Amino acid sequence: MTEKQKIKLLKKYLVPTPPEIQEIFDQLLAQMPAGSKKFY
Amino acid sequence: MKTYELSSGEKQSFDPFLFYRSEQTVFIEADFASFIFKKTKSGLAFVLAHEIAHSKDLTILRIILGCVYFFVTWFLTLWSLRSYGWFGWLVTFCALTFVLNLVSSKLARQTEFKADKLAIKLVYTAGFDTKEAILWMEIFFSLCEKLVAEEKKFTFKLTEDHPKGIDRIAMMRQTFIECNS
Repeated sequence: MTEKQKIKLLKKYLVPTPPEIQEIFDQLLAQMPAGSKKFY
Repeated sequence: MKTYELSSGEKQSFDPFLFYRSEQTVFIEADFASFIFKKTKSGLAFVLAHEIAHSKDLTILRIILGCVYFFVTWFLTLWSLRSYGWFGWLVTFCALTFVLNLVSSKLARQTEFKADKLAIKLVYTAGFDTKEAILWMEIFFSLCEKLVAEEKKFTFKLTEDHPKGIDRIAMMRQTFIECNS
């Protein structure tokens, strides 16, 4: 199965992310501005 | 970047503990994410941070390597086809594929280490309990290794193209020490 096929298949089974999990994700993303490579 | 959670149905088609990401999207497996969330928020934060870190992989380097591989493959396969015929072409193609697999698996392992390192820094700066996250990952790795040892036929993707759990934990601990210093 190719990368594209996998993603296509995955998208069939998507459900909304619970807010508490999204909150953790956003909290982590906030620490890393887009395009930043400073940690490398 | 968005997160989506997968419903439980049909997940057997994929890895049992699935955290999958493409360029801009992180997919997380619903049951597993909820399970970690109930046990430890920091553990889940680490897993999410690891996937975020992957999305920041050095894409330009990958593109350059891809182009180099493409041109080298074309040149060598055409040369072997003209010099030695179809048999020569087949041998060259197999040899190149073998080399590519070796290089890409080494790169994949290095990428995992980089993602772990960045994930620990993200978890630390975001204010989660980093020690707890490392401890949880240690338990998780040992569970995975135990499962793989018990069921020889079944292997997680985690153990196939990721570095050994013990090495990853050592790297995480080292990064945590660096964060504190």
